[in-house]
Amino acid sequence: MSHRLVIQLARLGDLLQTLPVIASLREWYPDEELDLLCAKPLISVGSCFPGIRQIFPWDGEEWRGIAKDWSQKKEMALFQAANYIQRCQAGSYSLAYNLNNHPRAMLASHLYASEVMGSGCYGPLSSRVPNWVKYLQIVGAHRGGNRVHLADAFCGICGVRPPTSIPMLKRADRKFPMGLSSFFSANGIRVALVIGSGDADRRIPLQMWDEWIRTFLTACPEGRILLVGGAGERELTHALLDRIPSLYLGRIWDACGQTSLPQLANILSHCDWVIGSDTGPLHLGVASGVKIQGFYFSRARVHETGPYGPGHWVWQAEMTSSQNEKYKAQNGQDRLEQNAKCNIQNNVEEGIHPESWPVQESVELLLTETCASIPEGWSLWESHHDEWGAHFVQYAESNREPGGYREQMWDMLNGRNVNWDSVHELMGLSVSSHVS
Amino acid sequence: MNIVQKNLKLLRVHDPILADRLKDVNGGVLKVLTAKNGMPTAQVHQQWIHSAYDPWKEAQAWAEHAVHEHRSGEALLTIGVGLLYHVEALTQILSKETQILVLVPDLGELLDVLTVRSLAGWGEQIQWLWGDAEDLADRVSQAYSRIRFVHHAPSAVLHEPYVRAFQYALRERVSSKQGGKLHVAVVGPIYGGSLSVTNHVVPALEALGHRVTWIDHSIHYPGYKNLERLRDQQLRMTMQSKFGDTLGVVSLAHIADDPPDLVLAMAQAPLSMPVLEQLRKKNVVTAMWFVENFRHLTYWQQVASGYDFWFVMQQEACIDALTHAGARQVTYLPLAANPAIHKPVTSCLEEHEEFGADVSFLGAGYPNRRQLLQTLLNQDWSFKLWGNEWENPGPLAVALQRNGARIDSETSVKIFNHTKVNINLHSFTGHGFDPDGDGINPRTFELAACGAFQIIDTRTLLSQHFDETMLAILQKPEDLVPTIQRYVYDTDERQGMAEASRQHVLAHHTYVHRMEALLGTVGLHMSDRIGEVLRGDRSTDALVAKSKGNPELIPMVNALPHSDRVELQDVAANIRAKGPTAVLSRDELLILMMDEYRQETRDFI
Repeated sequence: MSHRLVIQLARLGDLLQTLPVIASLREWYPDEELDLLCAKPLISVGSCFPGIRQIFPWDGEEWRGIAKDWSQKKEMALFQAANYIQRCQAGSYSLAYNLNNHPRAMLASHLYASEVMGSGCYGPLSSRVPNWVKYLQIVGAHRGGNRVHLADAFCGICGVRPPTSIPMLKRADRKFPMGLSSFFSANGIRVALVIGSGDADRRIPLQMWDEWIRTFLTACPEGRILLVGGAGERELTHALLDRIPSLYLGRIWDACGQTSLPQLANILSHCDWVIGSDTGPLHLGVASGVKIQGFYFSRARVHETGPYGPGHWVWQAEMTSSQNEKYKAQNGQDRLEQNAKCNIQNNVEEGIHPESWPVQESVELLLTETCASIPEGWSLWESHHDEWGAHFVQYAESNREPGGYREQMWDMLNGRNVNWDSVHELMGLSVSSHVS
Repeated sequence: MNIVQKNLKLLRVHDPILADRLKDVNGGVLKVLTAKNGMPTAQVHQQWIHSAYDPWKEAQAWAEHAVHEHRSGEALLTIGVGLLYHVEALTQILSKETQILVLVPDLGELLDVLTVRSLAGWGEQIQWLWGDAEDLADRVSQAYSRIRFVHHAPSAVLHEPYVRAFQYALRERVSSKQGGKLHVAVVGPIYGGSLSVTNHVVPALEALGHRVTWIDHSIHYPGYKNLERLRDQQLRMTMQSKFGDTLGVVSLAHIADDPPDLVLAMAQAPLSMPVLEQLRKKNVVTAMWFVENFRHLTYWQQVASGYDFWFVMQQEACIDALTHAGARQVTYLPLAANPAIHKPVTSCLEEHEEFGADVSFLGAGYPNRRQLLQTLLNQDWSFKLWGNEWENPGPLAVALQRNGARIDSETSVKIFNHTKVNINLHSFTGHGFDPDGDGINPRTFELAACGAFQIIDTRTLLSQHFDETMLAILQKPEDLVPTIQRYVYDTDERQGMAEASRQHVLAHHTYVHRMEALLGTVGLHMSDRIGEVLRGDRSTDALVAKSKGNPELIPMVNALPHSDRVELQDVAANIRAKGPTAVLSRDELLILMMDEYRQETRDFI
């Protein structure tokens, strides 16, 4: 039996999308012990991952301090750096799975393990990357008609297929913060709203939330709302609550900035729905077993980072006819037609910003799991899961996954010699957009 | 045995000569009074040296603050004696191993302490520095490699000239021992007199072996000048200010791109207070050499507290004004000459024809010059007037050369060399000589370095650098014509004095000397940072020596390139140069990881 290490140093959303690859590694290598290295602030989330023997924090602050010390006392800086790695059992792993295409993660991989899968597998200084990482680079740079979910691409990087079942977080902290027990004690639909977003570009306007809350609470007299978010979003929730008529206020609870991440996971697991645009908390909801309705706009795309597992819904912003006209004027009809041919409806570099919001429609979906009409500027997608991982089917449309995209892509990328022209063709990209 | 005898007995154990000397000294420097809490306190000229209420509590607070930046292994040199409460408080905070030195400018003051306060229990830890400032600087520079200064301001101020003399002497000793190489970013002005000084400072630093990044803003002068075409004065000033602000951010970008050990700004460098605050936040040491008359240009008031070190070409009044405005460390640093430029030259007949004269003056048309130089007309010697800002020259028009065009450095050297008697008259907006004239202009050093004879108006700081065997010094304006008459026909005496002044400048007053002194001051006050580099404590050999206590580190350190200065980015670059297929050791990976985070700390803007 050997010890293997999964390295994921990125943010909350990426860490939670690492759950499927850990589940898959456990399925494929049940006898191997698996440890996890993640960013220190997320250690409490990583501790809830099933199938992990030990978890180690990567402390960026400490490394910044060590680097600073170099200018003061070099021998001490080297000593501290060596000490840091020593504390984290450096060099004791037979294999490191590196999920970040970043020099720090590549260096950490080689410090911890004798062999590396993922970025850095050809050496810590090599710019050559494995097929799946290169594929993600193409998606990142050109987007295209990608249908492989990021969590499944992580599986590809690690040399395993997507997991057969959807992994959930272990319950760590079962206590509710003060004042929330009444939210959970009564019957009725419990909805958690993720009001803010770590990325300002993906923040839903307060006016939309105001309208959504009134619509939902009017349509569902038993319904209750819980506002969630980090401490930085407290002002936002205060501003929102100021707008809401007092007759609704007894049915709205505010937990913003009052919970740790494991506490938040526990709270979400007791809700019926989590709704919002910030993919980090949405993935936390998914991993806590709750249904999701996500609003994906700006550069967020359902096929890349939609909720993992069946039964979730994503509203994807699309170009309206007026935005389409503007885009055509700027980029030409050919580009638009090419995008349409490849089922790429929102391949706009700067991202799409909605002109209106599907308020009535999303409340209707929440209450009935149906939607009478899809407003212009949006498409609605339902999540599924099969042997090739997560996939999304457009609601009330025959817009199925084009031509077995994922199966073909897995075959191509797992082959010895990848024909990148074919990869581009399948993605609907011109061959000239190759990333060499 | 009374308290004095007990204290002298204690002193005798460590410094018997001092104990003997104190027997022959009279006290009474301090007026000793009783504080509200019953402890002795003191006044000098009705100024309190210690608290009138609780001198001990006050001293404890002072000591807490004073040791804040003290690092292990540094000797702590205390300036200011008073009743030594502050020194006793230091002994209570610091470990027994810390060397605490106390500078004693006046033994009478120390005797006053011994009369009222017991040294028992803490005085044994003190090393007393007393006697001639130069000898003392010799001893201290030899005995201690890392010194941290702490000033007890109320008592330090009592003996300022002695303290300054000691610090300058110590700086000289430390400067002469400098070996390590710094990276200095020199931020120059957009235009103006300090630009030419910057042109001398950069090669001087390089001549000392330091790596210099010159952030030269003079390349932006055409853009700045173009703004003068704006007719609306308010708009013009606003735009010029914004232009300066932008160049400040440009400076930050250059500094972030390749972070230096020290940012040396020259007068009029476009570094605003927000830029300086950002540099401090990023732990960058900053110094300003203010080569301007502080009475004429007053923008220093806005940025006094922004720099870690100020260097000025004037003394008392200037230092006081800057300190009052919030400057932390102000040091006198006069101008100098650049022997590569300012040197004796020979020239062809045509040049001799143009530049040759019995008497010449080169400089801008200030009122005092317009008045005094008229007396040189219609004499039995030839007189040429050079320089710009001579609009409406009046009778001086006959002497004005090149129509009052600006004269560059190269031409000025030719003028100095071809003139028998150079007049060096400091600028003044009134008549005659500036009654507050203290600092000496760069022309004094430049003329001397050229081996040119000069007559100069007296300045309070002139005698610190030159004497009458080198220059002809005027005490009053009326002496100008008789002094010229005395020297213009006496070639031997002129040449003898000129040569003496040239040798003196080459030995003591070049820009290389100034940069040595400047860096010596910074190194002395930043013993653990700049000082460590200057002492060569960051060389590979020094690192190996330091690692002796941790044998496992020696292979790591030995693997570093053997050079004067081991920098993370250089080491990392060496590792990366091994190529994409290289197999790296654990230590190499660690160094690359540290470098990844170092690059992040460069995020200045």
